[in-house]
Amino acid sequence: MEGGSLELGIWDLPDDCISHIFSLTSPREACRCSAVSSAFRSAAESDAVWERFLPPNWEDIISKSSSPVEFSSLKAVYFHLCDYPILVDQGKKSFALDKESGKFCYMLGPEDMSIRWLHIPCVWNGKLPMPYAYEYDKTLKSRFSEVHHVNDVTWLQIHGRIQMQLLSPNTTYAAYLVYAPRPVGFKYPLFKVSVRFACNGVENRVGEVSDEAYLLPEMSTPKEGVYRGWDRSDKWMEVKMGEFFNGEDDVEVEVEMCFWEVREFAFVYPYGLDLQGIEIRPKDKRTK
Amino acid sequence: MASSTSGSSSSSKVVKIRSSDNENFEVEEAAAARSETIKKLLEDVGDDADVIPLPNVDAKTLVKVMEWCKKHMDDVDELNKEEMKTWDAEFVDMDQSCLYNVLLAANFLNIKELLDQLTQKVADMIKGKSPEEIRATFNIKNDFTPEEEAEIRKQNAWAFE
Repeated sequence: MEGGSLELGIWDLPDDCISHIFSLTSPREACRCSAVSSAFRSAAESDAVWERFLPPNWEDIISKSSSPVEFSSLKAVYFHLCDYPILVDQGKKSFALDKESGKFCYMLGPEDMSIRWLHIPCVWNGKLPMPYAYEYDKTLKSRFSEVHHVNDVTWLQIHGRIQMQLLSPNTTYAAYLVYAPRPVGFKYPLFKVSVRFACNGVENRVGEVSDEAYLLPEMSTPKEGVYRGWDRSDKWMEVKMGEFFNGEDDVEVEVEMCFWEVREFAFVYPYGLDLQGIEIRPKDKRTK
Repeated sequence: MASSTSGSSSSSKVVKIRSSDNENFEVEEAAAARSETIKKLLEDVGDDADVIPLPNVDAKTLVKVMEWCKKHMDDVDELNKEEMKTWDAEFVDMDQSCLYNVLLAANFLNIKELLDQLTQKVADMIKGKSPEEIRATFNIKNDFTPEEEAEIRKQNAWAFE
């Protein structure tokens, strides 16, 4: 007997089945489902769906926030954790979720990085002959306590480290230096960037790949494959430092990100820039 | 029912189950026990069981579910994993009404792995589609006014980028 079964549609499934189905899609797709119909909307916005997109310990994470997080739904919590990074580790780092995947993102603040340079105080003391050395954008806001200004330097070197176990497992991450160039007058040299693993103080250089990077997008270069800075949505710029894969059991391993000036020329330009930090986030499959 | 794939040494004891439309089936116990619900019932009634009634599952759906249970009766070794994946993919490729009937049955019979495969199948039907395409796929009527829909799209602007 053909057709012995009832003719069913997706709405004949129990609510917990529907929310389970939505939680198997992605945050982006759950949001799109909200525009399908009112019934789809109430299922796609339910806490049962967004609880599965949030990390299991989201309540602990929220409790570490210095400013209280108020929310009307778990969907609101999710987007709050994506859009408003939480300061952790005595304010030295910030934590956020990657909107696309719900995976962990960190930014190392200036206090969590090693920043070294060669000053040339006798020539470039920040007054003359280049007074614009200190002309930075006063409206620039950092997520950390303050913007870190680097003035009149050459041979800048920046290093930052993070423990792999803080990051989401089985994920390809990319690291970016987040900075603001000075508005006028400076020529930035070519920088080198690299990402490498370090374990118990022993640096594993095998996997180290160093690339070249320009801070400004318009800097002309004959070279191919050089990273160039681009604008973020928050007035800052960023330039890629490299990428790495975080497996499952690299508990003891740290990843070190480096940024340094290539000492190519005998003649040096001093330069300045403003730093927010080094951001480590899942590599965006859709763009760079 | 003939046993086909079983290579295990377990005794192929047969249990009787009855669908909601009063059709009786004889199924190997090892296959029927993939359902936690049936397994529990068998434990409770012991050997006194004559026929286990399944008031929520019709015959057509039950045939489908038991087809899956028989295939998944034995532990899969590494060699057969790929073959099994292909079989599973073909199994869940059915019309929507049938899919939901089997999904409800898997939910009632508490067969977690089957339930996971079916919910994943429905999730895959949603993935990568616009709201218009989702409505067409699932035959859903848009009950929003144009203003309401515009407002929802605005609230979720990120997802429509």
